[in-house]
Order: sequence, then C-alpha cells, then structure tokens
Amino acid sequence: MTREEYQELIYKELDGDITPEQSARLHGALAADDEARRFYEESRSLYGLLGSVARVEPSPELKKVILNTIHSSASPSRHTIVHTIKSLFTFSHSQEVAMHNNKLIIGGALAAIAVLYFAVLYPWPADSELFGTIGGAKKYRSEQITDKDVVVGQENSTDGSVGGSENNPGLARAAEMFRSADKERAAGLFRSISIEKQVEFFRSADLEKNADLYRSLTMDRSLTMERAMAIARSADLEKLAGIARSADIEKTAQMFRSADLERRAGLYRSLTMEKQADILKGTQYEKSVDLYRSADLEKMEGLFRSLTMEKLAQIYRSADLEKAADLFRSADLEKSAGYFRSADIERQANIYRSADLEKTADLLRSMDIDRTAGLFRSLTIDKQADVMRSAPLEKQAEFFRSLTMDKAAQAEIARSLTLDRRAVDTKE
Amino acid sequence: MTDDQTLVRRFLEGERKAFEPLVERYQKTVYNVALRMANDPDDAADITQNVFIKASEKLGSYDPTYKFFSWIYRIAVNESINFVGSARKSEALSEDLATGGSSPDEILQAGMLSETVEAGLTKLSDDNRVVIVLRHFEELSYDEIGFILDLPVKTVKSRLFTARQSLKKILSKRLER
Repeated sequence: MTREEYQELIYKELDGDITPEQSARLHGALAADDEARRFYEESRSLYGLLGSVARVEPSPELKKVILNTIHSSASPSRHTIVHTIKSLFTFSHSQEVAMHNNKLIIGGALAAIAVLYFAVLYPWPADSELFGTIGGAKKYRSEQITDKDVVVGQENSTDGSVGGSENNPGLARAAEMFRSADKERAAGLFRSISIEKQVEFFRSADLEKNADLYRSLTMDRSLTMERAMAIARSADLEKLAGIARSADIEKTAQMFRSADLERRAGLYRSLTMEKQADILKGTQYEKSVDLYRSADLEKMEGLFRSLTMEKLAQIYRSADLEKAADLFRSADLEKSAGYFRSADIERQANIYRSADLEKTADLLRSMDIDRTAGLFRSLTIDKQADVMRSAPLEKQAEFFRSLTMDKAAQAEIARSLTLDRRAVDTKE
Repeated sequence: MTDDQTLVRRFLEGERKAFEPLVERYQKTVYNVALRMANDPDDAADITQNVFIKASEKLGSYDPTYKFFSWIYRIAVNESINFVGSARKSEALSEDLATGGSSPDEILQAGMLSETVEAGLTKLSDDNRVVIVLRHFEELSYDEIGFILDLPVKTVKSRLFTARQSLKKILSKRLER
C-alpha cells in the first residue's frame, strides 16, 4: 500500500468512515509498516487533542445585544455593545493604574466616595438597560465618578493602595455602608468598583449578601475572568460554597471555572449532584476530569449517568483504571459499550479483565465484528496473554458463544487465541 | 419548530421577531467558529454580532435552496477570516503565554491541554485553521466545508491533510519540550 493510500485510510478510520474491507487492508499495512504505524499513532493523538477542546457557550447577553442592534435603527457598526460595556470597566483598571502611578491622590477616599455616590445618589440602571441599548450603556458611562468627587473625601490614605479595610478607614467605612445598603444599590455599587475593592467587600460581607451580589453580577461581559478569579480566590471555601449553592448554574459554573484547582475540588464536593452534573457538562474536558476525580464514588456514579456519551468517553479515558472499572460496572449497557468503543486498547483490556461475565458478553455482543476482531488483532501478544490469563475459562467460552461472526473473523480471532494460549501455556 | 426557511421568509416580509429563533439556533455555532479563529472571547462575541447583523442585512440574497446553516457558516467564516486578517490579534498570544511556558507534565496536570491546542491553532495559516475548525470542532462533512469555503471537496481534503500535518508538528514540538 502506498503512503498516500494508508494516510487516506487512517483518516477515514479516525473519522469513522472506513468500510470493513478498507479497515482490514489498513490494519494489514499497519502491522507491516513502521512508518504507517507511526503516522497512525500521531494522527490518533491529534484527534484526541482536538477532541479535548470543548465547545463554549456564548454569554446569554449576546443574543439580547444582537437582537437589539438588529431591531434598532441604530447603525450596526463595529462599535458594539460588547466593547461599550467592556469600556465601562476600563474605568476601574485605568483608575488603578493611575493610582499606582501617584496620579490620583486618595485611594481609600475614592472607595468611600464611590460608596456615597453610588449607594446614595446615583440611580442605577437595571441590567436590562445596561445591556439592552447603547443609550443605557452610554448613560452609565457618562456619570462615572471623577477627580472632583474625590476631594470630598476625608480619608488618610495617600499611596493609592487598597489594602485591608482594617488598615484603611475609608474602605472600612465603605464596607460598612456596603453592608447596610439595600440589595439593589449594593449590587450596583459592587459592579462599579475595581477588583481589589470587590475582593475586599466580598470578604467583609455576610454570606447572604455575598450570594445576592454574586447573583447580581452579569457574567462574561461585566465581570471579566480576571475579576471572577480574584473574587473566587479571595473568599474562603465555606463562603464560596454557600454562594455557589445559592447561585444559578451559569454563575456557579463561572465561579467554578475561575477558581484554582484546590478550591475547585472543595467547591465541587459541596454542591448537590444536580449542580455537579450541570457543571461537568459545561466545563472544559481537563477540568471535568479533575472534578470528576475529586468526587466520591457514590456521586461519581450518579454524575456518570447524567453525562453525554462524548464527555463520558473523554472522562473515562483519563480516569485512573480502578475508578474507570468501578464506573464501568455501574453503568448501563449502552453507555458501557460507548466508552468501551472509545477506550484505547490498554483500557479495553483492563475493562475486559474487570467486568463481570454478563456485562462482558453484552459488551462484546454490542460491538461490531470488525471492531471485536480488530481489538484482538491490535493487542500485543503480551496483552492478549494477559487478558486471557485473567479470564476464567468459562468466561472465554461464554464470550465466544456470544459472538456472531463470519468465518474469516472467527478464524482471525482463533489465530490470536492460539498465540495467547501458547503464551499462557509457556508461562504455566 | 418552525424551519429556517419559513423564518427567513417571515423576516423578509417584515416580521422582525422571526429573526430571533435563528439567532437562538445558530449563535453558539457562530460564536464557536469565531472563537477558534480569533482565539479571544470578546473578539468572538463581536464577530458573532457582526455575522448576524450582516445576515439580517443580506437575507434578501439568501438562496433558500441551500441550507440556512451553511449560509450563516459561510458568513461566519468570512467574517472571522477578515477579522483575524486585519487585527492579527491572535499573534499577540504567544505559545508560552497561552501555556505559561509550562512543561508537558505541568500542562497535563494543570488541565491546560485545550489551551495548548488553542495556542497551536493560532500558529496555523487562516486557510488551514478554518478547515480544522470546521472539520474537527464543528464536525462538518467535506461537502459542507466545500460549500462554505467555496472549494472542491478534493481541495478541502488536501488542505485538511496539510493543516493536520502542520498542527501535529506544532503540538508535538510544544508537548515534547
């Protein structure tokens, strides 16, 4: 077989478009040609890597923004709401930079004045106004606090640093006002301030208010990942878990994605199974695996049943063998068969060893002939022997009785088994 | 569920709300194509918005004998390529930045595999990247990719082959470092 031919067939096989005849030819070529085998392994790895990139949900605000832009008579130029909203938060960042450059005078006072201004005086637009129209966003932007507002402050911080509220009377007062403000105003205030201040307020607020705040934030756009990370990292786990349990799933997931690994695992364990399942469904593959590993076995089985086949297969491939076998035993046939098909040979062999007789038979019956034969052919002699050594004789017999095969496939497997038996006999 | 063609016809007849289900149906697809091409969520959101605005403006030129999803894909791909070509924002994201200059073990342990793949994708040419995105992330057939890119299927296959080979080299270099 030429290089071009086997390359085409390899991609066909990986795409699932290969016919049984082509598959047989390909595996013949793979057995005989090192270069072909290397190409096959490289290509399979590439498919695996590409499969690790999960699809991403766009912000729920995006649809609103699109429809409002289309429905309005405003010119649909590149000046999008997205960037308008984004620019609102440039205020906080640029302000921080300016503060650190000693261009602004009183950092703590700024926070206090922000509290006074936003909590008492400023009429906050609702989320829908902020995201629904350009007008709402512009209004919001045009009335940000200025240097002029700062001069009213009486606080003594002059270095622009934020620090803890215990060392910063301005911030302490702001935090106190924050605690006493009603929900709506507190949420508006919270959205308007810089990351450091959000973190500080977050630490100082009680759980109920924190949960309200978190729910009030509009994710993805107004709360950038940087902010989410800072907030999630700053809260202690108990508080974070309380918030996560009370927030809607999208925000919990956002919080979750932004937390560091250790915190994430703790947080995950504290959630109900329903939320855990939702988070797993929406989380990137690698993170799903981490989470999955952090769950206890009882929950894991429930989670496992709730996931899509694709994600299950990914998780299964990466879980450690012992857990994978447990999961396998607990799953129904359809799912078991699904991940069996998706597993690499080593795992398939391990599954085979660990599964009970009935499931193994069911599993093998559910696979098509080519794949069953292919599985045996693709195992090394050592592995074939290993599988055979671990299976009791009656299991092998049951396995064979359950197969429906054409003569050629039976002969092929028989040849493999002769090798296995020979290896077993030699060992014994 | 009302089919795409009916919604398009109703929108063209003046029923503005008929566009809403189309946005609902295809925004995730368009967003993900844009995200993989631009490698930036904010840019992807902008591209998505522009795609639907253009679609609403040019809906009169849509030929209903073709699938609406192929048509919107075509706009999404063109818009993404135009955006990436002009902004070249993805080049600002170096491989090391995307993975923090981590070793392969660290990449695996920290769950950074997909970030590594995404960073690798940015190293491909736009032509190569788009076929990988459509085939591997959107799971479109060669025929569909050919329609969207206005290329014969044979060219799609050969471009995909080149793209995969390039990506293999990029990723193996990164993961073996």
